Amino acid sequence: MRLYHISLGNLRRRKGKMILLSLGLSIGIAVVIAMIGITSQMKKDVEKKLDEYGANIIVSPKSKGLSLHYGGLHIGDTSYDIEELRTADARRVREIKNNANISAVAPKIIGTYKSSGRSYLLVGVDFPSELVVKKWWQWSGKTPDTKNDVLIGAMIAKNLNLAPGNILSLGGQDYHVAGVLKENASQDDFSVFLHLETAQQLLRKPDQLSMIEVSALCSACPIDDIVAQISEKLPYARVSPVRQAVALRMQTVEQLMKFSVAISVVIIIIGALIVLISMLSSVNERTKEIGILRAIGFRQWHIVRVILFEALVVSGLSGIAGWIIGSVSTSLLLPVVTGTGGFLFNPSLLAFAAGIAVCTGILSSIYPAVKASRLEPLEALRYY
Amino acid sequence: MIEMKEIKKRFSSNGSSFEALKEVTIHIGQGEFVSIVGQSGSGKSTLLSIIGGITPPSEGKVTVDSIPIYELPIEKLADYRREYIGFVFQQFHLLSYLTAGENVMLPLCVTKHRDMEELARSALRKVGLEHKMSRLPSQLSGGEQQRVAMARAIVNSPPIVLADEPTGNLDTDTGEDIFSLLKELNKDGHTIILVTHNRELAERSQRIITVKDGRLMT
Repeated sequence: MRLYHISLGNLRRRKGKMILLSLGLSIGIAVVIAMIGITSQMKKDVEKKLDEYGANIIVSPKSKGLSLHYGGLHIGDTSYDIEELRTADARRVREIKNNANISAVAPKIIGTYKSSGRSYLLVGVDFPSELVVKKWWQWSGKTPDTKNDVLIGAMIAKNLNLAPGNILSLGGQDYHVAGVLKENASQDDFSVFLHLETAQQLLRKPDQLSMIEVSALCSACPIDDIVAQISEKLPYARVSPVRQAVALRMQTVEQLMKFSVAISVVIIIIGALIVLISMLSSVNERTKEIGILRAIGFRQWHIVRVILFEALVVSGLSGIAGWIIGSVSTSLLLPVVTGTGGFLFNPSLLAFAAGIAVCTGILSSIYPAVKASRLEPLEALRYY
Repeated sequence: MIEMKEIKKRFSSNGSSFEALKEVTIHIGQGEFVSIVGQSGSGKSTLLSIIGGITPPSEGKVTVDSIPIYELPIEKLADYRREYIGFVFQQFHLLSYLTAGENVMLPLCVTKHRDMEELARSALRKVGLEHKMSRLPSQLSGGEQQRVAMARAIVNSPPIVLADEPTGNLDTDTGEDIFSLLKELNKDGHTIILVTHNRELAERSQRIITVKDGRLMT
């Protein structure tokens, strides 16, 4: 016979009320677990989508004078003290310490080209890398494959009446239109994308690059470290993080987390109040019993221990039940809420759920327990 | 053993005050069997609860084995109740969800006594209920419940047993059994203080203390 036998005996006696209390707390914990599960999955989803947004580091030549812009981004100067970027520089980007965080390095040369009285904006790219950083691109036709394949913007195709499979003549050389980009309201609509080397030859800038786009957006990506490492490798280049994308990602994730924490705190406070009211009611119902225990020599601390042990058992079980309910709910809700699945039962969340439930249960029961322990034995016995 | 000097006890409720005991002085020696008698509201139960360490007097001093019990810190006073006093109440006051054996073990469980179960068995044997150790109170008769309460009162061998109307809720024969048990406990060396309405029972104790309107009658 130990003190906890009294606690367990009382829990058995008040089975119905304790199940209801446990259910209330379990649902609260389940909601918290589901919030965490769903928001962490949403966070991953947002990160993935933002990864797909494209490049977040631009490497351009250091120069002074007139600026060239591409897609609103500064890509270099044209006047003097120009430090040209070379094709090999794209490979050197891959040599940085945080190489594992880089998903794509997309070198490109950009320039205007006149042919048959028309001006074209030529963009020479490495298509496999370019397609990684331009995940939003959609086109009809096929992916450019050979060195004579080009991908043309929607407006060029419209103005020249070109379709996939047609021929585009540039400087007396015929190029096969592999695909036509869908209109995306950007400079891409007016551009001709062709293989890097081909563009370098046409623009008479062999081995030169106008810029390198680097895609390094990922979970917990040390973006500033990556920028510093690229700058170290290419001291003659300007390396700029695209702050907007990083800031947007961080803001979105932070908002999600704040929302989740706020809701969880509210739920836990409600859970704590439920426990407090229930334990106070339990103490009131057990006034006589507490009086008996005090009369036969129980110290105040013994009474506190009996009541806190009850809270520990109820809240601990509620935590486990809440974790199970929350995990199952998350698995069922994720496909509806985020359109993704794949939530796995997370044992570390079990420890979290049990910990939160026990802390809530114990803290909420301290006042009822102390109140019970301070009952005068005679007053408690005279109650009945 | 028990010294009560000029004890006064006032109860206050809703602005009005009631004096339950008026300058009561008593000495009870070790091993005595004392009955306290008096009409309802005379103050006899209050007297018992003051000796038992569950109601502090408004004035006066109570010493047990020369220990001024109401000068003890609150937790030491709880220890006094556990080590010196065995309570038997009119309404038995057993915990309904614990078995007879567990109820008897209650005073021992806070001290994590090694031979707890054996002591409980022995106490129940004394009251003739060893075979009902695993029964719940609801499975026992009134007399049996009172005997379990007596076993709980003596399980840790307290020198003093306080019985407040222990036969009040029992029929005559069962009441007689309980009184006989108290006599046996007294023979074993326990000091017995019995509060009763039953003058006949009281006359079979060694000494009778009559309380009337909060005062002792000589």
